Amino acid sequence: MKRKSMIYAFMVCLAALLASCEGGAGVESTLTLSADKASVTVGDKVTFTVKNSGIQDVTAASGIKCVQTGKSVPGAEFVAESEGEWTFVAEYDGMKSNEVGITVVAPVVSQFRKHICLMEFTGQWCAMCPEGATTINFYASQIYPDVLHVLAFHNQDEFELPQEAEFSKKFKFGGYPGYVADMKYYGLVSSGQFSEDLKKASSPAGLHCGIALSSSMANGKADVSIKVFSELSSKYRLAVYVLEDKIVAKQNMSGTYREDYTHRHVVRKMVSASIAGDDLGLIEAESEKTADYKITLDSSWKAENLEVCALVIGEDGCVNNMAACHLDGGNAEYDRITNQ
Amino acid sequence: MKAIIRLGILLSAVVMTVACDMSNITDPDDNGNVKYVGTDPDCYEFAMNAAEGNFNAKENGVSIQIGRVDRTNVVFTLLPGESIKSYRVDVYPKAILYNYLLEGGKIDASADEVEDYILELLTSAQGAGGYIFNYKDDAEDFPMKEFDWMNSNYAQYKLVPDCEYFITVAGCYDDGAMDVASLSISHFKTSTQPLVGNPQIGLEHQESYKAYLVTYVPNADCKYFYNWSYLAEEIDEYIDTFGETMMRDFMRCAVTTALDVTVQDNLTTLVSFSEVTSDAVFATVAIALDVNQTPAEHITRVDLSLKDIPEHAEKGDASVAINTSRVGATAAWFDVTIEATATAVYYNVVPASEADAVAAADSTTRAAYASELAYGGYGIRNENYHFDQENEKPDGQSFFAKNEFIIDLQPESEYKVAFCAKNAFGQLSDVMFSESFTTKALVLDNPDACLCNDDFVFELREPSRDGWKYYAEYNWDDMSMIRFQIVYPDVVDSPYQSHENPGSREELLGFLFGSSGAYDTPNANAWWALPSGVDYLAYYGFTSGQEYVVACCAEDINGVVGPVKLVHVTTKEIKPGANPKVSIKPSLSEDGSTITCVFEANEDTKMMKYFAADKTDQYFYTLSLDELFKQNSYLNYNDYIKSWTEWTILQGLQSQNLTSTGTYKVPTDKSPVLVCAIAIGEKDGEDCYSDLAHVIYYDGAFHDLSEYRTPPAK
Repeated sequence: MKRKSMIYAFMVCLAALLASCEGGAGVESTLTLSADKASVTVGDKVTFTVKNSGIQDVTAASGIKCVQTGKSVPGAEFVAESEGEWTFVAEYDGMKSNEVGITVVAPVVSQFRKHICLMEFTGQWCAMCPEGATTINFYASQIYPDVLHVLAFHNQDEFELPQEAEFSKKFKFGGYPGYVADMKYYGLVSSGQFSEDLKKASSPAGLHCGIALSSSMANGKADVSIKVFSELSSKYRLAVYVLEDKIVAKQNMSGTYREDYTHRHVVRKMVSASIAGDDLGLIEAESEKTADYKITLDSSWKAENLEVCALVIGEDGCVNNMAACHLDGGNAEYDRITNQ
Repeated sequence: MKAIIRLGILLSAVVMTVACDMSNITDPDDNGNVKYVGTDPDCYEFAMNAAEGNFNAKENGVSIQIGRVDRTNVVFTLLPGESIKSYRVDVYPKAILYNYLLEGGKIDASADEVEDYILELLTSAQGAGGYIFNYKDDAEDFPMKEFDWMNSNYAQYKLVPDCEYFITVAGCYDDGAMDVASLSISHFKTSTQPLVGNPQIGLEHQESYKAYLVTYVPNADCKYFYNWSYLAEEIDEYIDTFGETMMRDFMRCAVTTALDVTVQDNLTTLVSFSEVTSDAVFATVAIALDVNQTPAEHITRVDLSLKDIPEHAEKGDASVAINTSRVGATAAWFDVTIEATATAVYYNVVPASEADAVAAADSTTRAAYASELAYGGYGIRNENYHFDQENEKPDGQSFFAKNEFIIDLQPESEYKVAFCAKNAFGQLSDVMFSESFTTKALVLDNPDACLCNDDFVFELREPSRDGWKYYAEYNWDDMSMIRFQIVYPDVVDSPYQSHENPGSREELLGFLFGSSGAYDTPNANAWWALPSGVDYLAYYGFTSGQEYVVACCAEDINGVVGPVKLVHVTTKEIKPGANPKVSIKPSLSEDGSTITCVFEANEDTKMMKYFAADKTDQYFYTLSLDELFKQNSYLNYNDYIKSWTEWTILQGLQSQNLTSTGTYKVPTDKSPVLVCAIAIGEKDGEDCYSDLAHVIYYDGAFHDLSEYRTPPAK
């Protein structure tokens, strides 16, 4: 049994090598190097995987290096430090892999300030959620003033919307109070990861658009006009929500219900067609597109506490930037860094 | 050139092929599965149809594609065949799975028998069962579901470096994963790093009669370790069957966390065995890990026996005397004398009929009864006990425990106290019984006759924002039991509907003496009488600015229940202001082992948050305390305040009270402890914050940040 195996394996290896030498297609090299991205911007990370015979993951035991610089890639993760075309190869157990090319482009340095979309997932039944709200209020007022916007989605209470379940299924933040930042980072507000994720969400890396919006209200309806300016040619989607702030209602606080709790930033309505946003299509570099919405309001909502939030979602499905203003006579200009 | 290159390739192909480890590569089967056959010659391999790496299943099975394996994680994708509507999945360490199979008597079993047993594990409701996924609940992901195993919620066993695992998946025809179609098994091994240094762990031991103490002695390269203690015979069976490497892996998989050698408490283990004889042989095994938790190759082991019980050993002795003047309707008091021969007494109060039946039973039954008392009864230690180690006999004094008691007795019923005594060798005496006593009748309809009426005081004192202190005072000679409970507002089943409709005496007593809920939990808190005649307890967690009503009654020593008192209290209202403040008052315990901090806030504070951290805290490194003591550091005063404020908000305990207390251990290695607090008020409807209060305990004293960094000018 073993001798037959040796010959069989020998033939497979030989065939594979001969084919790869002659440029034969469809037969794997014995050692295969692959990357999770082919093109990144400066500062982004590329993760490599090395497989032996297509089955055995030998990444941890392999040496991966950049062909141009000769530098090794520690931990199979390459952080792009400069622009250019970079080639990588792996070695393991005397074998050499195929070469993999990575294109590194210069990042767009945006003229706009990065605003953070922080979705908070909460519930009137949730005893620990007031503590989560305290934490979020702190980050909104002290760490990221004027740029962190909170959208509170409620679960299984009088403020519940169907979008809460959609986000919960998509992001699996793991409990309440939970968070999703920029539709990219998620977890529990009580975890140490929350602070780290907000730092990542506040980074201008990858930011390439700005938003301006204005709103007016009359006769139970609001007219909202949203402009999106793009700094590079890209497709976008637009998600719009109406929020009501400072709603006094009941809340479980560490096991005891009280009726006079102030709920902040409660999402009252999704205006766009889905949580993925309405398709804005392609916006050419240095161009602008406008979207207008007419929103019917519920008479029980307090007009002076209503806000509108516009989330601009990039091709990666994450919030690239956002803006917010009061629904009744509110106005948010493009927030350019040069404005300060 | 081509011919030369071909030849070169041919040669290298030959070299490479020979270099391959052929022992675990077999011909792929019809499905393309490379059969797992094991690699360790010392390890018995169970017959099963497992694949090495990916498992390709037919339409009535679930394929397993392994995407990535590293030192501590595996990412794989499951692809159910067309007939599969649900599946159960789990990842078992080989060392654990093989132990289950060994215990299940599956040595030399056929592959079908082994796989049936694995299916039993996967479908088990008690702990070892797999997670269920089905098409009905997750149509989108079910056809190709990726598991990033250690980052999911499904991992029951952690993955450790250089260790073998099996991914097991039972594909089922139904939605509920009960109608099993087939079993898919994939084998993989986590990767490892080269060992840093030569970690070793020594074992020192000290035996007693029913226990032994093991001290672990790590060398400088050993930063973590695992250990396991059991009967040597069982450990031998495991190692003889599966090899030492598997024993090493068993320890690492069965125990949740590797022990850190810098934590002093981890370096000793007391292993006690209450049911084995002194001729049993035990073994403790340990494996040393380096700084990356890579294991050493070999385990360390020590075998030992317990000390022989000397022939002259005497069983312990004790006696119980009922305090006949303190036998009420639902409680009774008695005194216990523990003789010098006994280290402890175990007891319970049982119906006299049960006691008589046990007393008349054979010695085996009585011995079993004594064991149950020692395991599940109440215990009293002989505080005057002393043992002469050299002569192996007790040479201390007896101990008198006065006013032991038992509550929740039935009125008008006969009882005895059943008890046994334990000696220094772990031996239990024969079960013994007190004289019998009969509880009195419970009288609910004659409150004026209650002996406690004149002296009984029940108050709700010192109301705070979220609680108060219950306070009771009475004459010990008269009182038996106090029962009390909140009856307003919004209490389920409470007869107190409103101030205008508080409920009748009968209804309130029914509530206080009754029980409710799925587990029949008593409604009332029950305090037994204390010889001091005073009792109190603070309760928290209530709503601020709210009125509460507590119903209370006394049961005297004759079983007569007095009038129901209704006591009102209103918790303090919170009126947050724009200028919250908080301070910390730290103090060190006399022995220097703990710090107590009292946090005090002002009336503007609606809540305060406080926390303490030392180097064992997961996020301690973010507080940059090690930088604080360096001369040239890049972090200034404001950097520290900002970082510490953020962590206080994110990780601190929250309190609505204006005073809170925290107690923290001082690390044995004298590393620093940081304590911080912040108060939160309100201004124009928005939260506002106090300055951060902080104290650093280091080098035997309390310090302020300003001693290490210059605060900014105000």
